[in-house]
Amino acid sequence: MRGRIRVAVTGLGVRTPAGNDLRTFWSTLVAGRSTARTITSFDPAGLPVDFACQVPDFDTSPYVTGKQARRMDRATLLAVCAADDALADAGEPAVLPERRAVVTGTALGGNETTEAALLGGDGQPGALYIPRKMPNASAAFVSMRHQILGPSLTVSTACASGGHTIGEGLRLLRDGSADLVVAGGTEACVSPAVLLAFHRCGALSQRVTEPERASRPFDAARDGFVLAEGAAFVVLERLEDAVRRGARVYAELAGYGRTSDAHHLTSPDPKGDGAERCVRQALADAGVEPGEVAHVNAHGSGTPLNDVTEAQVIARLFGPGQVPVTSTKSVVGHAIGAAGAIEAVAGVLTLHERLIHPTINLDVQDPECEIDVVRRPRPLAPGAVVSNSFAFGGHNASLVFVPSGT
Amino acid sequence: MTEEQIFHQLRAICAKILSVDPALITPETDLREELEADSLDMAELAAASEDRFQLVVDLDTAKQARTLADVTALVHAGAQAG
Repeated sequence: MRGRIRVAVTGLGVRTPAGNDLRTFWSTLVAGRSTARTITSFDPAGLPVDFACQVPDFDTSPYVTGKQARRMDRATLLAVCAADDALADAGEPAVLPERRAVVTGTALGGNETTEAALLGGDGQPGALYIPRKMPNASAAFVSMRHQILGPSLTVSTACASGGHTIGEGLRLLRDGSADLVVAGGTEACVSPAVLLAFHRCGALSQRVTEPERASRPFDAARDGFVLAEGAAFVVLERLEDAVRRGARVYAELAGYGRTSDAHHLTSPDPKGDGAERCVRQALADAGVEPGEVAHVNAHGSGTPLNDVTEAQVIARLFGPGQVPVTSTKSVVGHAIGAAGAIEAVAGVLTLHERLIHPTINLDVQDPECEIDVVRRPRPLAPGAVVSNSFAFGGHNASLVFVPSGT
Repeated sequence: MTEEQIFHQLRAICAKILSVDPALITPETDLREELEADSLDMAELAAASEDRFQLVVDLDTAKQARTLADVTALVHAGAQAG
C-alpha cells in the first residue's frame, strides 16, 4: 500500500522567553543566551525560588482588542498570537473552513485566572472565570479567529502536551479529518502558587543566586528545571498540497510516537522503557532507521532523573555518543505544556537552518549521560531530527522531522 | 445608596467589562445595540453587580435589561429588598 500521506510543516509561530518572532527566537538559541531572570512580573519575595523564564515585551495590541483580551487568560493570549503568526507564516492557506482543524495543548490552562480568583481575590469568581480558565480556551479562540470549522481539540499530557498536539495534528491529516491543521501548545504558569508547588515536589532548580546558570541539562551539577512560559504553533498540511501551492516547506513531519510509562505520577521509569518505546515507535512510523537520525532535540529538562534516563535511552538507541543531542530548555527553561511545541519548532528550524543550537551551562557533563551534547552551534549532518517530550504522569511523545524534499 | 450613586458605580464596572470609555455610557445607552454587549458581557455585569452591591440578581430578569438605567433599577430594587 504505497502512497501514505506525507505531511509538511509550512508555518511556525512563537511567543517564548527567547523571542516573540522566529528570527529572535532562533538567534537567541544559537547564541546560547539564557533567558532565566529574577521575576519582576510580581513580587517573588518569600518564595524559595524567585526566578523563571518569562516572555518579555509581550504586546497583544496588534492582535486582539482590549475587550477580547479581557476574555483571555495569559495562556490564551500567548496561544492566539503564536497561532496567528504561524498561519501568516504559512501564507494563510486557502482551505475550506470545514477542512481546517486546530489542536492545542496545555497542562495548567488558565492558571492566572484560577489564582487571581481563588487565591488573590475575594473567592467570588466572575462570569469570565470558566471561559478564561478552561483548557480548551485557546482552541476555541483559534477556531473563531481563523474560521476553523473542522475538529478542534485540546490535549493535556503535562510536559508532553505540546508534542502530542503536533502528533495528533499529523494523525488528523493522515486519517483524512482535515486538510490543514494548526497545532501547538501554550502555558502561562509563572505564578507564586505554581512556583511553590513545583518547588515542593522537588522539581525546580534552587540556584537562586545564578538564575542564568540554573538550567543545566546533562550537567553533573544540575538540580532541577527552570519554570518558563510561552506558546508555539505549527501549520501542517499534506506535502502535495504544500508543493502544489508553492508554499515554503520547512520540514516534513514524518513520524509520531506516543507511549506511557505506567510507572509513577512524577518520576520517569528509571529503565526508560516507555521513553525508548516512544522513540522507536516514532522512528518506525517515519520509516527512519536509528542510523539515519542526525540529531535529537531532547526533553532535557535538567532534573537529575530525567536527564540520566533520557541519555541512557538515547545511548541505547543510537549508540553512546553517536548522535548530537541538544536541550532547548537550557536556554528557554521548561514551559510545561508548551515545551514540546517550542522544541518542535526548534527542531524544525534546526533542519531548515541546518544548524544545531547549543546546550548551555554544560560545564561538567554527568558521566552517567553517555551522549554527545552539543555545546557550540554545530552544522547539522544530513538526516532526521527527533524531538522528545516526557511528562509527569508518564506520558511520552516523540516526533520525527525529515528534510523537505527527501 | 441613591440610584445616581448606583448608576455611577455600575457605569465604571460596565466600562471595564466592555472596554469602553465610561463617558460613552449614559443611562439610556443600549448596551447591546450601541456597545456590542453580548450575553457573556451581561452575565459579567450581573455577577459584578452581585459582588459590588451584595445582592442576588435574578438572571432571567437581568437578561431583559437593555440599558444601564434598567440595571440600576434592578440593583436599586434588589438592594432595598435585601
